[in-house]
Amino acid sequence: MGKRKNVFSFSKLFKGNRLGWVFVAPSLILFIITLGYPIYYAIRLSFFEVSLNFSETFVGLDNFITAFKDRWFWNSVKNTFIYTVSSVSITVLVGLLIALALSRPWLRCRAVFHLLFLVPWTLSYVVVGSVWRWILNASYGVINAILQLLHITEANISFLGSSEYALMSVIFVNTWRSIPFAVVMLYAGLQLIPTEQVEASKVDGATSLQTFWFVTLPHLRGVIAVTTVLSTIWTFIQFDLTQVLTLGGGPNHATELLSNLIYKTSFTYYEFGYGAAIAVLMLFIVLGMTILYQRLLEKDI
Amino acid sequence: MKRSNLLLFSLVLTLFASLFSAALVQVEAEDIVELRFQDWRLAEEPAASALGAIVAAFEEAHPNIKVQLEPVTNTERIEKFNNQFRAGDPPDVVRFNVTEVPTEISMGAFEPLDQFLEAEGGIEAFYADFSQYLVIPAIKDDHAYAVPHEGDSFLLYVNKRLWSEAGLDPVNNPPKTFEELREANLKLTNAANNKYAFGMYPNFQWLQSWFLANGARYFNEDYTETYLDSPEAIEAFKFYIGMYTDGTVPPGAPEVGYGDQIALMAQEQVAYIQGPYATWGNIVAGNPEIEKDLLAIPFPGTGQTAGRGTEFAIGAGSKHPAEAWELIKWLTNAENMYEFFVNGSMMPARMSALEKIDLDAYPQARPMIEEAIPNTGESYPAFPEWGKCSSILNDAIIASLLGDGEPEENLRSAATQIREIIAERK
Repeated sequence: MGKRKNVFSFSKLFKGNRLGWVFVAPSLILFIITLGYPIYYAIRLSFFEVSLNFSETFVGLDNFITAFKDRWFWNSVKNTFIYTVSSVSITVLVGLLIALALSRPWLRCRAVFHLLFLVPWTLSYVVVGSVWRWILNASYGVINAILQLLHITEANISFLGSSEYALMSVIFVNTWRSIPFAVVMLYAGLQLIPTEQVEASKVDGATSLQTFWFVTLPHLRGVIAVTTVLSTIWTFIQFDLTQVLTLGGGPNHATELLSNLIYKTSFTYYEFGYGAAIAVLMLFIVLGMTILYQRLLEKDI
Repeated sequence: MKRSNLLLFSLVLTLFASLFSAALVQVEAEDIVELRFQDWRLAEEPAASALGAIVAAFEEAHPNIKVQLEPVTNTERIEKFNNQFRAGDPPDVVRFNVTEVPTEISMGAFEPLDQFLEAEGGIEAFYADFSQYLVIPAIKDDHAYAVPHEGDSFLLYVNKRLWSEAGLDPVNNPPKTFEELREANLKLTNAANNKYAFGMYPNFQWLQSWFLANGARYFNEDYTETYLDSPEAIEAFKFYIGMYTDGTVPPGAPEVGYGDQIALMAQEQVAYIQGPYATWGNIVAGNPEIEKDLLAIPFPGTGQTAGRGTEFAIGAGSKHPAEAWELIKWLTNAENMYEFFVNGSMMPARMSALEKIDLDAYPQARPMIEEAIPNTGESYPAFPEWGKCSSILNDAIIASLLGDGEPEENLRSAATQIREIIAERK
């Protein structure tokens, strides 16, 4: 006799769990109101064309087809991926180096360094964007002044106003803001590595690099994975930094991310249906990343 | 009476007294109407203080109305208002730029003013004192929705000393043609010393004045046709972009905002910038020393520039439209517009308020009132789809500055795209 199929039913779900559902109900209701309904509404809206007076016309998959044909959609997809991959790679790598440096036993004034490395994390992206917009300014920015003082450049460089440097500059600023998170996570991970194993590797004659490669890194694998996936999700959905630093993705769409395009489409062009369609496409990408994150947690690596 | 009974009696008496006074306060509070007034000028000095004083005087004259000021930043204001309006909780009175008004009217975001205007003698009589380019966007299908408050045009603000050091005389011999300005630009630029001629703030609104100065226009009167690819427009566009590619504009123009442009002028890194009347005050606020060297001159060419302005409207769904109208009337009467000019440095939209200005007392206003405003060529574009169209035009400007395509091709492409959008409306 074959195995009975495990069929999902609501009555089974509630049976014997009623008290549990009562406890979960408040947060479930809150979740449905604050997250569930907006997601449902955005998905619904993506199948409609919304006019300025908010009358809706059902257009089926037209908005999605328009997105796939829109060069600015693909441009923002490309920018978002370059921005995310570069930012996260640099953040995790530099974060690891700083965490390793902070955990050296010979380091003096450790608390001061901890505090210094945490400062960028305490600032909101809007503040970071405004401050770096001044620092990187082509006419009176301090970076240009320093570069000229050190005779590295002769003329001022337009970091945010040229297609060549703009995305690079935004990645740099985002990395500066994000590194503290990676440092905190990885530093905490380093404290959990049993010192006996490190000492044993030294007794066995391993070099510092070998100890790092064969002892430290395998222990940090789980923390690195979680840091990477969380940073990837946060960077992918980021909006405020480019909105302030490059005024919504300029110059000429060079730093326009998917989130900036959604905002511009919906609130500058008032094409709410099309904006919702791009948001739905973005939702699926982020959903994929979240599933990956869940898998990583389940595997307990 | 027992001591405990006395204590109890006093407690009950106190309770009744407080309940009674609370009820009295409640009755008084019910008589007072609280209006919400949302305005980005409330977040900008000196305009904020000037408006604050005008509103305080309104409250004094209308004891039954209390005005709750809602300052909002320029960047978030449109989205904030639209969200409030969609949620059924808009501010009672709100300020919008003239170019944004038709979009908001099409959304149904403003309360019609017809019933109030009837009491003022009708639409025509009420708006007779205002520049027509500010009135047209406020009216749709014979219904009025907004009242102009500020209105002015564009001038070039030059640093006389820097011009004089370059052997130029902007007072007696300002550039009269684009070619003369191009020659002046080259003389005013010394890139090795980080000194440049023109502080460019590239966007469709600022560009429009260069088009008008060259005899070109953006649109016809009812926005059913664009002239962006006319020969005059292409020539003006090439000149504008050329100022950057010639190296007479500081590097990084595509990232320059209004504040950056002012900072460049205040720090004397550029010899001139363009702007509306408020620009004078903004430059002086950045560097008071510069005022003695500051001079406003008209654009070369036809001298025509683009008209800009702001308007007040009542948020659709306002619970107190009659009181909101009283506030709008107060803010936009000739006396208070003049006060706002004196203390807030903003040009009035009413002719009668402009006439009150003593040009000997305010010499910096003379070129704006005597030359720029009478020479206003066309207003900022004002039609519902302009949001998307302006973005297309801005893209063409920035792409051309970055050398991404030829300026002429970029402008022609923008004109074609805008024409398609207009055609959909037609």
